[in-house]
Parts: sequence; structure tokens; C-alpha cells
Amino acid sequence: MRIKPIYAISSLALVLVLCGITWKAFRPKNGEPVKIYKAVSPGSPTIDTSQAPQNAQTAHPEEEALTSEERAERSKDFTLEAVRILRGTETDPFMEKLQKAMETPEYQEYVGKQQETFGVDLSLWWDFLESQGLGSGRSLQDRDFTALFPGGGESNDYEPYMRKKFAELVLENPFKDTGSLLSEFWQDEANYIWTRQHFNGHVGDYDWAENIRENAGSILAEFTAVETETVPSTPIPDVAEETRDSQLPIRQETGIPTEASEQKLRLFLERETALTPDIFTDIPNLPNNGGFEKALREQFSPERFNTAVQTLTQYGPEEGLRKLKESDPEIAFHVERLIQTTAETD
Amino acid sequence: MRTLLMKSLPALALLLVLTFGFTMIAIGSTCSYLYAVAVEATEYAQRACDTYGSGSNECNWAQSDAGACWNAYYEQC
Repeated sequence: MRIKPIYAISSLALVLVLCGITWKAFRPKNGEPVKIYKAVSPGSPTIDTSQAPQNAQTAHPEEEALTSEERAERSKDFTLEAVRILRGTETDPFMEKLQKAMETPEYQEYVGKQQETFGVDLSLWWDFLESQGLGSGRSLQDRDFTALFPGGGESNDYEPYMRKKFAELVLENPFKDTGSLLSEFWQDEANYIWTRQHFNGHVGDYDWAENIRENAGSILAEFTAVETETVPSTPIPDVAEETRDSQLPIRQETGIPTEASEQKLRLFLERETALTPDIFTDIPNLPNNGGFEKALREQFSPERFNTAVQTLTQYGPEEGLRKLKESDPEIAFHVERLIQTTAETD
Repeated sequence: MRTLLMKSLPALALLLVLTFGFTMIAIGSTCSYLYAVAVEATEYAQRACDTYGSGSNECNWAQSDAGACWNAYYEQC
């Protein structure tokens, strides 16, 4: 086979273009394009990384030449600048304390450890802040987890449920990369809080997500198999309670906590009396607003939604929720959360 | 030798394209992950400050967490 010169020249040109693009992509970060961070609300600060510490962005030496002190200094500058932008203030007592803490050898040690990990290990950051007597987001994280998962249990108990949810998201977005998928997954605050809690501040969440992305099909197939084996796919016929219970197969442990936050539910139900005219008006004492039904409809198939409504209508919120936890823990979890959210809003 | 080199050029180019493509995808994914972490940490801080008030410990902690996340993004991307 003889190759025409034009092909050879084209191939060489292609290689040269690729080299050029690679150089452009991996060249030192001096003069890196401006990245704009979206504002989360009209009044919130906008992080524009072009405003990041200028010495960090433009004047720092090459990566390999940095000593641990220089690396810590650069890291300190950039972190403080980000915090400063978020707070919208140049300095205040907290910033001063933070800056002072970041000038200690412990901070250098922290930067060294962080350097060895992929992504960001918030638990290391929290350890460092606590060692400096500044307190940390660890306690806030625990508090948020308890508030968003009132059913109790450890984050590990919710892992199968989250795995399934993430696998579903993967199949809905087959061309998205892991980072983009996680970003979408975190749009639900509960998912974000769970991830931070379960992975102790992002330690290993990327690998977890990557693994699910690669095996989403088989993960969902496993779940479907378990559900088919253990839960009837059709609504339970309207029979006496004793018979209904005896007809239900024993559900395998899926990891979803089954303990209800009955006290919170009761507290809410005592306060909630007004009902709005929609499908949920048929359910006595159930917290009711347009968003409640809409949120459920958006997340579940009409069949599951109708079954849940039927159960709640028939047994009332407390008993209905208990039944739902047995037959469809996922939707029960959402109903409970929506009740909880509404209660807290009120 | 020259002929062999000429013949192997298309294969070499293809190999380079594939390597380059996969490398870029991997780097892009890592950076989009770190960006997502930083953005979510910032939104979380915003919520904490709205809930507990600016200047509260909770707001301070969440903002400093977000700062650490933006630093990681900058360092690694």
C-alpha cells in the first residue's frame, strides 16, 4: 500500500495541531481565562476568580519549584480571598482569626495532606480549624443531616437508596460526566447533605459516583430484581388489614430506615388543619398545598403516585405512611420529608 | 524505513487523537467535579448564612468550607 504525500502531510499537520492544543491546555496557569461563578441569589456575592489573589494567579512560580511554605502561602491567599468575596468584607474578627490560624505550621501540614488527596477532604479542613480553636462545619453538617433525615439512622443506611437515585440519574443523562452528574444530583439539598455526611466531606464521593456511572444498568437491575421479589407491583387489594399484612411478603433489608419520625409528624398534624382543593383534599389531616402534590408527581410514576395517594387516603397520614414505608419506602421517604419541610416552614 | 514510517503515520495520528481525547475527558470530568463541589459549598454557605445569620458561627464555618473548596478547584484545575 502506497500512502499519498497529501495524507502524510495531513497526518503531520494533525499531530502538530494536537500538540498546540495540548500546550494551550496544559500551559502554566498565568493569565488563565476568567471564570465567573454564578450568583445564587440576587443579593449573594459573585465569585469571580479573576479577583482571586493576584499573587496567587499571576506571580507564583512554577508548581515544581514551590516549597511547602510557598504552597501554603498560595493556598492561604486563595482561600482567604474566596472567603473574603463570600463575606463581602475585607476583614472582620473571624477573618483575622482565620488568617492567623493559616499562618501556623499546622496549616502547612494541612496543605501537605490535602495535596495528597484527590479533590477536597473537608474532614482535614475541619480537623485543622478545630485544632486552632475556630470550630468547624462538622457540627453544622451533623445537624443538617439529622434535620433532613428525620427518620434517623446513619448515612450508611441511606446509601442503597442514594445509589439507586444516582443510577437513575446516570441513565437519564448517559452523556454527562461524573462531575456534571454529581452537580445535578446535589441540586436536591438532601442528596448534597447526605453526600457530605456519608463521605465525611467529599472523601471518595467521586469514586462512588464514578463506579455507579459505570455500572448504572446492573445496579438498577439488582434493585428491580429485589423489588419484584419482595413487593407486589400492583396495588394491594382492599381487604381487611390482617389479611393485607399477611399477604405482604417479607421485605428484604434495602437500607431504608423504617423508623418514623412520628413525634414530628404528630406535632405537625396537630397544627395543620387547612386543606387546599386538590387530590390530597381527600386525605384527612394530611398537610396539603400545591407544592406537595406537584413535588410527588414530578418524582414518581403515575402508578406509584396513585398507589401512595390511595394508601394515604385509606389509612390516613400516620398509618398510611407506615404502610407506605413497607410497600414503597422511597415514596414514603419523600412524603415524610415533605411533611417535615412543610412543618418547619410553618 | 521511510515507507514504514509513512505507513504508520495515520495509525500514530489516530493513537494521539484517542489519547488526547481520553485525557481531556478525564481532566474535564475532574475539574467539573471540583467546580461542582465549590459551587455547592458556596450555595450551602449561602443557605447557612440565611438561616443562622451572617456573622454566626454556622455562617463562618460554611463560608470557610467554601473557601477551602474553591482553593482545591484552583489548585487542581
